[in-house]
Amino acid sequence: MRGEGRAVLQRVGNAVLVPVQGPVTHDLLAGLRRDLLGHLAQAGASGVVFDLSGVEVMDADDFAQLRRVVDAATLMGATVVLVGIQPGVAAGLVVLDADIDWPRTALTVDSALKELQGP
Amino acid sequence: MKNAEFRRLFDVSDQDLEQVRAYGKRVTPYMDAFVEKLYTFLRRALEEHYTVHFPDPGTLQRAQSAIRRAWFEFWEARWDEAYVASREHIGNTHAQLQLDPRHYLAAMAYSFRLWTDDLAPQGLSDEERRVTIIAVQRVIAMEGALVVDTYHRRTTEIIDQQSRALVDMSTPIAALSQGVLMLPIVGILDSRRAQDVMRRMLSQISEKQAVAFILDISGVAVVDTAVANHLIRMTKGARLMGCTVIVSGVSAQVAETIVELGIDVGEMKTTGNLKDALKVAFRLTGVEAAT
Repeated sequence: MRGEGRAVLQRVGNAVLVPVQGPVTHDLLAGLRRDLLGHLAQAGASGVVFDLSGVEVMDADDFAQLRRVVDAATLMGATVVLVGIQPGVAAGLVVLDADIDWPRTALTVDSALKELQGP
Repeated sequence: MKNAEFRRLFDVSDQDLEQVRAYGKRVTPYMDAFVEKLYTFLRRALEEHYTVHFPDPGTLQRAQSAIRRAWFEFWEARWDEAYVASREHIGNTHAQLQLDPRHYLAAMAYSFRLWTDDLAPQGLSDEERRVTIIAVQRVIAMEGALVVDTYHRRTTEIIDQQSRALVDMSTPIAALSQGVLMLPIVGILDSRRAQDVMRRMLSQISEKQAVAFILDISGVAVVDTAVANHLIRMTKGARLMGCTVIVSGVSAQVAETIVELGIDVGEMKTTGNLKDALKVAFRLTGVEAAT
């Protein structure tokens, strides 16, 4: 269970790329938070990019859980950007009236990294 | 099986069908008289609809021979799959021709009266008459339900097809340049349409990798709180995917309404005309706008 659905952190310059695959379970997010915060504490990073293109289903609750991870990383000084949210997921969250005003978003990983490295 | 389901719903026993068959043997010789009386009634009852349904003698004759066939089948009372299929065919035909189901049911009600009263054979005992009427009435009700059910399904299908086509037609999303999409919304933006538009908008954003999406609302008939909320939701949905929505075509009147109604448009980017929207979009994509 640990291997499946686990996010592996990738270092890109001064930023950390977090590809998220499969269903956003509580376990996945807990593991992710531990790994990411550990990494930020050890190596530091100016930016974190969550790549959510591999997530097909996410409800308002999952999204609120994700926010906690993002907020924690922000507290450690990183700017967090979400990319690759699937159209179905976005439409679902809007229809569910989820709180979706909080995240910084970008269209692609490239544009997110560029934005983080920009002025 | 559909025939079993209908027989259960209308509580039609084998005995009822047997009763219908036995009675049928006695009344089918009067088929000609039946058709004549029924059409005399229809001409009177349908008034101007009669000529709409039966515009020429050819059509009338086809309808009459179809009715004969249907009633011969009815009195055989087989109620097998073939029978159900033939009734579904009747329902589908009526739906295709957009015949009023009220007219069909009226004809069935009158037919029931003709068969069990006007054309009833002599020499039936009161008891025979009673059980016959109960059986025939049940089977006619079942048949009517089957035809109207099919009619309703087919009509719903037709409406679904049309509304799907309408959604596609009413959301002509155009790619203006690399990363910039535009959709003019024309007419009324109700919640159903808003959802359709949003779905198509979001999937196009993902497919075309759009950085900016121009939503032109100069053709929207009425902008009220509900419409403004739909626009805000669309904007949020797109933003979640990393795309910025620019609402263009905000007329002076619309701007006034929004202010008057106290609608909080939040971070929604709006412009008065398309030209300014394009400038904003090109700035987002890093393209210099031609002036």
